[in-house]
Amino acid sequence: MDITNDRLKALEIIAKLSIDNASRVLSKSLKTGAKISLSKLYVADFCEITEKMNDDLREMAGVLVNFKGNVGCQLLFMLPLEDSLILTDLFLRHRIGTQKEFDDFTESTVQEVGNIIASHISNTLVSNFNAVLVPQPPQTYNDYAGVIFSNLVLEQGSTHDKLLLLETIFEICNTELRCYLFLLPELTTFGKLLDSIGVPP
Amino acid sequence: MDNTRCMITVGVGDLKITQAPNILKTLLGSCIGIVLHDPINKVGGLLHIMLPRQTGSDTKITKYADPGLPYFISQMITFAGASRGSMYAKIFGGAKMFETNGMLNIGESNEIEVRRILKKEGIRIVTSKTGGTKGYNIIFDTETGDVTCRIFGTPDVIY
Repeated sequence: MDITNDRLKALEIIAKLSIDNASRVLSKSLKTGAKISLSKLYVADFCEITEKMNDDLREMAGVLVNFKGNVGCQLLFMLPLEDSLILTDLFLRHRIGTQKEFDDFTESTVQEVGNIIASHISNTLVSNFNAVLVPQPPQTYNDYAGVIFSNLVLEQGSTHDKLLLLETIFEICNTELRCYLFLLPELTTFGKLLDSIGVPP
Repeated sequence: MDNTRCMITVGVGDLKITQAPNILKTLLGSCIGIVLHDPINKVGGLLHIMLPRQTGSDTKITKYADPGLPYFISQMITFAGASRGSMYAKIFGGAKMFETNGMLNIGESNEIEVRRILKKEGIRIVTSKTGGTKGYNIIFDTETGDVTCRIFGTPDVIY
């Protein structure tokens, strides 16, 4: 997978714009400060990254959204099960500690937050870069972190040994909530988007 | 003896072979983990395949049952000193992780292909635990051949 530093930089700017937009809307939905910031954008070796993630045995709730269109992208939002209870309380405006166990409410909340993030990331790409992104039905998971992560990378990993991966840092005001958001753009289609906005190959 | 053991993690679509008493481990969703063990020559390996067959030619072959599994067997014999006659297999994983609208799911396709190849290669499957909808955490002890398997949300079972 060859990508120039200029193109990586351009992708970083596009990702930051999209993530900022999602951050603002998530803050409104949760009625508290929510900040998602890009921590890393890098080309990862498929086997190495999954080997690292296969050491992560934490029990997680996650939602995976797959976008098709002229730009392909996968998005994964996940958090530890115990933190999904806090997120549910925040989302439903309950006192933290009200939600005691992972149930349909928790699963729906995780899916809804994933949908909010996914739709606002895609809105930024559609409105600013003329991209066409059609979200596929989201898949929710309750499993080991490593297994959920491998579901994210499986499709691209079946045809590529290297992946372009974006990792984020997630902060929610006054709570210790560990959330993880991964974006996996398809480099071929994103290359066309970069061409269309004049980023040299 | 235990102090010298290494715990080796296997990534998705990867292959690791080691001498006893090292331990191999991985997580599996729709993928299949194939454990090969030669108890006489004290060697073991773990292949983590993603798909039944390779379609392109520019990716690692260990991602696919075909040609990854025949390659695994040949590596066990040629480079690790295992003997075909004393080697056996255990298979795990193949969960249904994706909605497929009633079509054959990836996990099932992977398992069918793995069983076909092992039969063709003359390697017996002594135990298997496959299917379901949750991830598998497997830990393979190359000293004893035991595989400790924990399906998400359930207790450990030794196979």
